[in-house]
Amino acid sequence: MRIKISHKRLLVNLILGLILLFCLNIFLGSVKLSIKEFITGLYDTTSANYLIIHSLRIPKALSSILIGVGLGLAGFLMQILFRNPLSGPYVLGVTTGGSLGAALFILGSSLFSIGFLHPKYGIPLFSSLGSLTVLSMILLVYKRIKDPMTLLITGILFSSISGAVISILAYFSTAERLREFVFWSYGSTHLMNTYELLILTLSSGLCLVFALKNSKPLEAFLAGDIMAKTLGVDVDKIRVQIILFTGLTVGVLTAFAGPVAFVGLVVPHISRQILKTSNVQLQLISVCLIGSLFVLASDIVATLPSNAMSLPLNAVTSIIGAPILLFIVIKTKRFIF
Amino acid sequence: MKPYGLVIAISLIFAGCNSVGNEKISTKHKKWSPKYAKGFSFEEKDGVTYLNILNPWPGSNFKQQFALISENDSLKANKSLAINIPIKRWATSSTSHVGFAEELNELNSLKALSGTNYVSSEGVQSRINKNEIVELGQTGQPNIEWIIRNQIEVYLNFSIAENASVQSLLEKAQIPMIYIGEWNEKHPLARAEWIKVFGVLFDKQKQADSIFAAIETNYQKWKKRAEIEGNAPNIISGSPYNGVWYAPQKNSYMQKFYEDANLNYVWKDLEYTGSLQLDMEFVFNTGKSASIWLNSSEYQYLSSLEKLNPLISELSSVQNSGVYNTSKSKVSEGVLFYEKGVVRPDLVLKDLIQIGHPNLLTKHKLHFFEKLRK
Repeated sequence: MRIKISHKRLLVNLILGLILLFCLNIFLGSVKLSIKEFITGLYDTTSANYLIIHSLRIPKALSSILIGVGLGLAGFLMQILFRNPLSGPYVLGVTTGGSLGAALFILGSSLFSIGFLHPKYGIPLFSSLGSLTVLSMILLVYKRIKDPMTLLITGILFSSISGAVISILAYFSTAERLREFVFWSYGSTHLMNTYELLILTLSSGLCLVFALKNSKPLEAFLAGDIMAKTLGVDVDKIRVQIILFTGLTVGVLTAFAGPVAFVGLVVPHISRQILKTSNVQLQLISVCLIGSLFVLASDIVATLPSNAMSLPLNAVTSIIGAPILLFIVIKTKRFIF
Repeated sequence: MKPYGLVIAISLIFAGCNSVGNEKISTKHKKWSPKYAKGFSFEEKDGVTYLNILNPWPGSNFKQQFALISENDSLKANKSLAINIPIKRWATSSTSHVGFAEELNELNSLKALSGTNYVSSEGVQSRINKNEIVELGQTGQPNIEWIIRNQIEVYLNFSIAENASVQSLLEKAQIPMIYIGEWNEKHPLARAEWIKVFGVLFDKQKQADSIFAAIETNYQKWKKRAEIEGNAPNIISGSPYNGVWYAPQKNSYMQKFYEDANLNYVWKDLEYTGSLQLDMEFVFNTGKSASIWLNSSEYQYLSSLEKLNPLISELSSVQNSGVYNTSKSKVSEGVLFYEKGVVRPDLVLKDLIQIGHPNLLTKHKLHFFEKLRK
């Protein structure tokens, strides 16, 4: 792959930014650490700060990166799949589908006799199934009516149906279960253990490998079905693969981190704005880096450094993401796609 | 791992066990269960006393066991599963735990708390103002960094489900996290009996036992006096929100209070998952003639309640100014009922008897309930 010098410079800057923000994310937390305490806490196993940095902050920063990569990629792939700049896991109801799955498990466990499953396995399983179901339904509708506006309305419809079912489940649920679901729905990168980080790495990593491996077919896909077929791309196969990978990735990420809004929608747009290239491989790398930066930055804000309280990550990503998207639209007067 | 001494407060525990509870004694294994509470027990195995926590939230099948160890013990145990008694630095996620500690005069060892705005205790508020007690963040999402950094010995957790991620991190830091499930008990005295757990943790078992014994005696005395009073006034309970009336269900904690205060709760036979969710029409149809309405929302004035739904002003309890909330507070936004009501069910019962049978308790001043003004 030949990369322009300006693109190289941009990617290097993004990598440097990622390293900086990663360190800042680890440095800032609810307990204020001096630079000296922070540095000794990195290696002094006898210090309480060692545990804080290694067991809390580093996993939190790593999960932020993985969530940024996964959701950014999912949004990018969905925008290619639907050839629509407004596509994204949240807008099309895939995240809400994941929430519905989680709600069925948390709020409906007493109603549907699924309480035997441990939440550690039950929530990811149900959330992934919820995301995949919604995405498959959207695709079924898309196969019949290939109009982007109809597609968006369909996504909103599924989102509304999922939201309505969640409301009904919540209405009949106990206060305790409801509280558990509300906390989950706030979204969080905190308290991920090695097992959970491994699953996040697998889901986001597999999505990235799939996307990189299929970057050429994806480029062709962007030009339309007929052009893609002319270039030898198995359009139906790649469409199903995109659905599977994005659905699973969003489902798993939503399951462990809760619904995290706007990342999937805003990150691909920022990437296109700054790269201005049709090279999908470059875009993919940039989406991963910007996604990581976006969630790391949002997580720092959500943590409210040196404060016992924290903000819901889901709200912070929206508060940061929406103005960025608005700025892009106003500046370019259209979406680059 | 540092060695631990093995002087257990067995004698103190069993001093309290002899009077109440079911004691099973063998040479090597002694077990003691509380009289009312179902969520904890103590046992002694091979000279070590253990605190068992059982099913701390509804529908759970969760157990914890902690070895209670004094500084002189030589027992080698996983620190996250062993508690050095008396605890000197503790943090909690619930204001109810503050109520227990205050009864035992153990507020000085409290270092952090979730919801510092919601504490009624003047002693705690004063220490919060001096920064001697810090805010620990949301219940369920405590500031673990602070707990680790400030050498908290025990974290007392109110939880509605297993909080495995917090627990595993605290285990790494060798800080025991105890699920205090007093709120899951259905009998008012069962909730109060959790003072014995706090007594063990603070090494004040005798004091805890005698406090509970006094509370129990007082409670049973007033329950009997209310029983003698033949006439049980009809009451309704709960609060309306968006057209739905949320009320205590059959066999609930509040319903037990009403029963023991000889009050006829009109929805006592209704059962539901969690609290009852009643339609306003049903409430009006079945509860219109009830002369007393208890545990109304946080509103202070009847006019505020009447604005919620036009049918509310037609209720006899509203027309006769017989509406009481439990929003009484000493300081801050804290509700005394949630903090002290748990550990002092005898006072809650007296309040209810005073409301339902004013002739029995003419001089009693309400502790937790407050009459709504016109």
